Amino acid sequence: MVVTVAAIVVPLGAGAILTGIGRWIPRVLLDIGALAAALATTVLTLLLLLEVQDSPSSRVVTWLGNWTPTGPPGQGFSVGIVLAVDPLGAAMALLSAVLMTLVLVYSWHHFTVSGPAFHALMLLLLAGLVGFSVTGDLFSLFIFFELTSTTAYALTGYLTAQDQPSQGALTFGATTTVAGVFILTGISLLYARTDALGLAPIGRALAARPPDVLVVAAFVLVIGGLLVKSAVVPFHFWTADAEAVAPTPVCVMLSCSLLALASVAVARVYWTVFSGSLTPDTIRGPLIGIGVLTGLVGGVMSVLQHHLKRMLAFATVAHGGLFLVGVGAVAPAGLAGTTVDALGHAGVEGALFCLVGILLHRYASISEHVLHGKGRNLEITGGLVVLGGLGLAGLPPFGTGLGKTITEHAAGAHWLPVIGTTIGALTGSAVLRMWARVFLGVGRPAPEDQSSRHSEEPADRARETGGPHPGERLSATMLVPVILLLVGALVIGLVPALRNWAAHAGAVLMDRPGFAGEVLDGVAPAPLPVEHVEGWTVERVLIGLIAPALAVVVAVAAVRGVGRAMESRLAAPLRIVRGLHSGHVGDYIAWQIVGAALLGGIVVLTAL
Amino acid sequence: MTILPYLVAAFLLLAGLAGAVISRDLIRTIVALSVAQSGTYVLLLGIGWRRGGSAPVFADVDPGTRTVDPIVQALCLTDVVVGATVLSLLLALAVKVHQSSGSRDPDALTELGG
Repeated sequence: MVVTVAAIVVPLGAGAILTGIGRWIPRVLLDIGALAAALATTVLTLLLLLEVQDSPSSRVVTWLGNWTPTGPPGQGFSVGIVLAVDPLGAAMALLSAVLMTLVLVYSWHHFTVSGPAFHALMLLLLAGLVGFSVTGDLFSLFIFFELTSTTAYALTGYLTAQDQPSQGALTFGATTTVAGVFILTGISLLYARTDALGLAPIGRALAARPPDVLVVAAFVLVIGGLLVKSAVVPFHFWTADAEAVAPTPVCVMLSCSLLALASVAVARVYWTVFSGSLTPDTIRGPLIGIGVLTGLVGGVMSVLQHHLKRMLAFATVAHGGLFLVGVGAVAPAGLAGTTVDALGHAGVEGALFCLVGILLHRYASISEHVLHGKGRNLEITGGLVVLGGLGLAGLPPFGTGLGKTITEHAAGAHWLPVIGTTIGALTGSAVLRMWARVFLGVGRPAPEDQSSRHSEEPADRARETGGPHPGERLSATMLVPVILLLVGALVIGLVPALRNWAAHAGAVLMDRPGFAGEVLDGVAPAPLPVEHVEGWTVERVLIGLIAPALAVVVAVAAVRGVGRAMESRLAAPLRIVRGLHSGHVGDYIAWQIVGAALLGGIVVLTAL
Repeated sequence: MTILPYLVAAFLLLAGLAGAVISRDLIRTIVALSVAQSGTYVLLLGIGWRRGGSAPVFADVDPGTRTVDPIVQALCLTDVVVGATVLSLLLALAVKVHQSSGSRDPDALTELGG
């Protein structure tokens, strides 16, 4: 019980202290203090996960200030605020803490202009992420959503001496603010109907009567708001603009932690709040549809980029689409797929961002055009990039590949493996093509990046890392986190117990009556059936090999200039897709409104 | 019970969003967002309103007295704080954008995209 609160309070308090004294203490103390706080949070979230695993119901429920519910069973009522941790929540909190520890080690050497606020903001972001994963209260969820948002766009625009970071952070901030307004309006409607703010009491009250327009509106507003954070079409536009300009450690946290947490939050809010009122069939179609569309748009956009962080950001968007397909499978196995994919993706994508950061540190550039052939003498970095690219394509036994195949089978549609393979091949090929150009120097240099109408590289790109360091020996603090992330992604695909654990965690999250009974009445839920998810089989390994193979073929073709011929033939449709990503704040907000309206229309048609 | 607060809330929300979409100045975009946020405050207060209810302060009245719902006021206050943080940060970023690129018109700010 204490552990849950401590896991939020430790990073929050440490962040507050560093904000206060950061100005007066030397950089090395800031690094040590922040690292110690992140490590402590890692230990606490690990203890929390173990406590959740030990609990017979797989949940740890904490009523803050001991405002425990009163009333007969089935009608428990409390005015208090509850933290309700289930295995998936604890795992996501642990993922965030581990990633934070690794990127703080990484930025020790990499991030030279950090100033006092960087470490404090990173710790506050971690507090928000942990709270977002463990809360059992809808309004607290909104507060932690806003805490992660505010710190995230302060961090995105951290290098404000440049022009672009302010713009990227502003776009990110404006779209997320609209998302916050959506969520709060939805919460208000739910409170008006149910007189409750907790996930459990709202869910219980909604299940007692048939759905109506108010419930659908609340659903669309809350889920539509959360989908902005999980970066799915048409709510995804901020992602590439923000991650293109954010410092590398921040990119890792946004891509690998925030996105996955938001997808899990979509599942959690649907299952605990709305599942008694809106049947799973109402969300299956929209979520799988959005997920597939997101995957394809993200994959195509990723291939079109020659700005390395933008390329990786769109790869994240593509994989975020697959996470949502797992949620849309409305089954424990689907959530298992989402979880395994999210953990594997965190390792691969985090490693790739850090590797791009190494290039940035060395050559003060993240443009495929400028970096052509520059990486010839960086064998280790290059090798790791190849591994990351193959991991992104889902090469067995990477966790990404395992998660993808579990998701595809859980969602059931026989055409899904084709989509999954396409997404893996597209995103993997972008990374492999970049490797061939930057680390081998083959082919002609990449075309100049069209995403920026001005110079290829802003003159002060070097500010993040304190200028180019071309001849410097690769520092262990930069390399070790990358290797740990890639090893983690491999381990996740190799440990058979993990996928069954993830399916059990999904079943616990989906058990609305059990959740409400345990939170509100303190009764132990009925035991859930044991979940068994199939892992790697010969057939699945063979299918899993197709995407990396295709990625290699596409990358070779791209380097040999075939891609450019294709690109000119497909110029018109590609220009439209690119043009939609206009970087214009008003456009992005308009898309959010359109997306929410479409989601609402589909849910109204299927639910009422 | 009257429908007026809900209409006002919906109007503020939609007017704010529309303003943010069509704005030609980043400062105006941010102000429009704060208008949209105000819509949620009106909505919350409308939900908590009780006919004949007094302010929810029980210092000198009987605890059974009819009052308006204090929870929505707490939510509203919390969101005012969150909103102030967010908007001040966004305004600071808009100032930075203006300083570095000399423009606050989203149509002219095309550094990112594609």
